[in-house]
Amino acid sequence: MFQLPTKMTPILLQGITTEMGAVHVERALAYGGNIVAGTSRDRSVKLYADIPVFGSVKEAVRKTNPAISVVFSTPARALQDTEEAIRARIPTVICTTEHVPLHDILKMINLARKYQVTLIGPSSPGIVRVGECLAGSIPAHLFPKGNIGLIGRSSSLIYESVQQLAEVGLGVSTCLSLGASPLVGTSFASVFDSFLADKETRALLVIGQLTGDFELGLAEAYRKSHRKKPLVVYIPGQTIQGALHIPLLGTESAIPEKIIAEKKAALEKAGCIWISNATELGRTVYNQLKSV
Amino acid sequence: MIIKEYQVKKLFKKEGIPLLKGQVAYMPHEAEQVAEAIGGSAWVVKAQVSADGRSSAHFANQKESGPTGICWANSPQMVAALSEQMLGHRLMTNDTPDGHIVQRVYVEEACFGQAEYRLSLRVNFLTQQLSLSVYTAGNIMRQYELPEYKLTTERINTIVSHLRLSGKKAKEMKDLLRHLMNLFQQYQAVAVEFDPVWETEKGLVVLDGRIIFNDDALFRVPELKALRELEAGQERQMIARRHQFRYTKFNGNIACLVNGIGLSQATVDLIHQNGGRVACLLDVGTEPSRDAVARALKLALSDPGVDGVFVNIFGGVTRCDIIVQGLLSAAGEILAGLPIVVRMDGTNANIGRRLLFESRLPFTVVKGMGEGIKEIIRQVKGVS
Repeated sequence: MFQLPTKMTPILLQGITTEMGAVHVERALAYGGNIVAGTSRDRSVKLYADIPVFGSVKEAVRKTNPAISVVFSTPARALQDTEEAIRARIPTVICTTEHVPLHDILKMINLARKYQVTLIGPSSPGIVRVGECLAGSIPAHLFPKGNIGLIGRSSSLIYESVQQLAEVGLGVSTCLSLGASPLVGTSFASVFDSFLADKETRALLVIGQLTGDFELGLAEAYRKSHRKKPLVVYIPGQTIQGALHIPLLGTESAIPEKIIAEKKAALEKAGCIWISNATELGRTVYNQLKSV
Repeated sequence: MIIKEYQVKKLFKKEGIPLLKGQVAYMPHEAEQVAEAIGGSAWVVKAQVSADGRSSAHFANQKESGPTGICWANSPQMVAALSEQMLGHRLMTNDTPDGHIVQRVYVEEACFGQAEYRLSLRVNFLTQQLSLSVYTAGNIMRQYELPEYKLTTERINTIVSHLRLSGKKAKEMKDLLRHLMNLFQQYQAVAVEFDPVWETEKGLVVLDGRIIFNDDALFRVPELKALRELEAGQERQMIARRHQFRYTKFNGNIACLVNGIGLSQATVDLIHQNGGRVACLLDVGTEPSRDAVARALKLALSDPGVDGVFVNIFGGVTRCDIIVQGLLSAAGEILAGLPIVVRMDGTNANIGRRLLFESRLPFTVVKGMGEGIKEIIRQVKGVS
């Protein structure tokens, strides 16, 4: 089962010497997480910013036993790099790469299921446990610490919600992006329990997506949960009409208005709070917390 | 990326799929010659546009009783006459309010037989798996999930037995299913469909089909890039692709330049909810170059339908200072006088805002997304 990271969670950075990897190292080190190792294709690099660098994930796992691997790669190599981490059975693998070919994502998802690894992404900026650790490229320095658990699909809209929370005096406990790609390895429902169990999280803000049916699974998980924490959901694209994104949606009957209506109905029926105005993310969460 | 029927059929033919005789034509007399070369006593003339529903779509300049996008002809002269009515005209399909200008027709031998099947193999975004749908007459569908990313012989046999096929017909169906999977994998497609498959005296024949390509996988199959045609009305999409940002057209007058799909869609929602109308969405993504931002802004400002631009950036990996450098390098166009409202927060936002201020160009810099939306809607009202 997926677990939220802490200050002690050992993190591996695959592709530590890539441009994105370097940006991350700088941010993550400044943030104070427990980065135990890196991997690089450049065999001459043994140490990077005082972090031991290995030639393969297998070797890194043997010597440092990480619980999370963050993959920095190119669209062409993301499958290969992510597979390496999955086969090494690292419990949580975060693929940050954008524009990964869909067939490669399918293969990643299937492999992660087979090895029972939590695959976050592709196209995920990662996870931040505010004040403790950062695994990914989230600008965590902008996140005030607080009691709101934040789960989303995108990146910039998540940062927007953090700002809105800050404006009403709220902060974030843990923020996780499942990835913006139309296919991703992990659903809202499969990480929901870990946020429910988290003592620091008093309410949840979820930023959904038109594509897929993760919000329906979330509604079901929320309905079944014993402990209730306020759950507020916003899905962007509510006013998009017609057949604009049909190829992405994948089924002929998938019309944006219908999808939104179905998700809204399921979530509201389960007791979640639906937001239709993207400038009221912070305010709505605030009102929900006040009424508890 | 979606391609047209005649291009799809070229790929089908290469794969060895049984098709009807047909050829593309650009001029009415050429279409007539194609019909004569194919022979027979009846033909079908099909408008070549990348959209579904052609047989029920009408042309913008003609009455409801006029031709649709797919017409039957019983002489080569009629083929020419129908081509004349299609070529250069706008076919109003449901996928876009503008319709598509027909630049080519496909002339095909008429087929006598029965519509029997429709085979569809696609990435299913709901189940997050590969799924194969098999439709039989009466639109009855059976769906098979393929978690292994394979279509095994065993699975093919199951499908054929569900269809209660035997003998020659069973073999033909098995071949079609294998072709479907081959095409899907070879071209890294989002979807491949044989629609419809007819039962004729020559056996099972694929009358039409579609392939939807995954833009992110085109680097693996470079030969497909050559199939991308410059279509009338699609020039802006081509420019966006070339410079690596996403362009989506709407019907209003406010252009939105945003980073990331979530924030993009939220911005569109807010403009609509506040009584504004979006002209187009320019999503520059997570790590845009200066050049991409400059091109996106120029594209917006050069569109006669655009009365103002709302720039909404929340920097994470995206650096606001890079965005501003991009905006400023389109300075020549900015002086043309359309309102540009900029909202900017996150990584290097202070540097970005300072650069905007120092440029002395007529940007309106706002605090927050809500304020920005109201401001652009107000300013655009003043323009139009």
